[in-house]
Amino acid sequence: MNNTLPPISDIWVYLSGSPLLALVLTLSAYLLGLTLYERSQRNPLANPVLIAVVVVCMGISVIDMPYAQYFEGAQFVHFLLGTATVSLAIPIYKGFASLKGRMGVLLLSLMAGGITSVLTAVGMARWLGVDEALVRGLVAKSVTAPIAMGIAERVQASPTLTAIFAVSTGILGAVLGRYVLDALRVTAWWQRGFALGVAAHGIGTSRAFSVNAEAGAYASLGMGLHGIAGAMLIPYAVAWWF
Amino acid sequence: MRMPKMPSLLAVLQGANCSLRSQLLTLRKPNSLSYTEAMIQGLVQLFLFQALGELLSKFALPFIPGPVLGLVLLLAFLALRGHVPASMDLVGSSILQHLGLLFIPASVGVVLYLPVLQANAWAITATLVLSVVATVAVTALVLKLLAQKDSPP
Repeated sequence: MNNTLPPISDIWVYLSGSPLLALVLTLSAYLLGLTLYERSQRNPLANPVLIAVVVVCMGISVIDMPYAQYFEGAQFVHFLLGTATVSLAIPIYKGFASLKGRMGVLLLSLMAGGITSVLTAVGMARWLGVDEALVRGLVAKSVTAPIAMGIAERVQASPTLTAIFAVSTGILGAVLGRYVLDALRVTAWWQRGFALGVAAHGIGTSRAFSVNAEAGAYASLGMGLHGIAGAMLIPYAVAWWF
Repeated sequence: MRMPKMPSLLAVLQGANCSLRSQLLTLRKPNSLSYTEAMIQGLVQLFLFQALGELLSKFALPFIPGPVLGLVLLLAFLALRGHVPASMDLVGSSILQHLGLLFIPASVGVVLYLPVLQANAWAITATLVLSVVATVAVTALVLKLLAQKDSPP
């Protein structure tokens, strides 16, 4: 009689073998993150992705689920990243409508910003003696996370580290950006927005939208163009430099 | 009931949720697709461009990720067409509205890197802060200088 498992662990074993547990965990952690983000009046520090990642990490360590097993279930969410990347064409296309002949100026500043992002990150990290395994993850950190992870795979960097660094960069940019722009006396909304989109991608764009619509539109354009340019150029830069 | 001129993924996040509803209404024109059919059609279109991008990446341009090539192809397609098909806009905006959700599974992999991250915590933080400040500053300054040269106030 005692050699049958109690039903509760039967259920447990069954659930952790199916994708359901990982999916429920991921989606509910994200909903919790969104709720907290709304409650905090959309404070960039209460980033819903960051909250969700912390909650899921705690969740899988409490139930002692290996990451590989978690990912096997959560891969259905992960798969849509590629589709989301393709969808970025839609806001970029709509952004083109408001350019008013500024394309050349925007592309030049994008190149300057993109090069600065890679050079300062890799240069500073090496100077401070950061583990070489982490340095590669920093290369694409100013590119929007779905594209950054694609770049990471091409340059033998960890997509996970790249995603974490990209989200952190977005949060830092959204929090610090305005002080930098104020100190430099950059007042035009389109310039402020574009700089924020280039440096802090989606999270910076969301911040820009909450301040000014024109800034937001230019921020999403900056994010999109940085994504395309980064995907085309960063792998070559890494092949040449590393 | 047209979409606002410049909606973007995060405009939608900002509570401009009505854009989806207005799309729904535009879709209710006589002999147009139902909401669910439009969803499926939009998804098929996006998958198609994703697949084209993956093929191009696999056989012609292996250095560039497939989805990014799909993005570029879709951008060219939209430029040729002159507008975003409503069904594609519907699905694309819905996905982008919750873009953050999609990189949770990969980010949770951070559990595998906790020791090495902890050992480098301060250096990494300093690097991220300095790099983002420098990127904002350089982008904005170049933009400001070039814009001034283009059109003196």
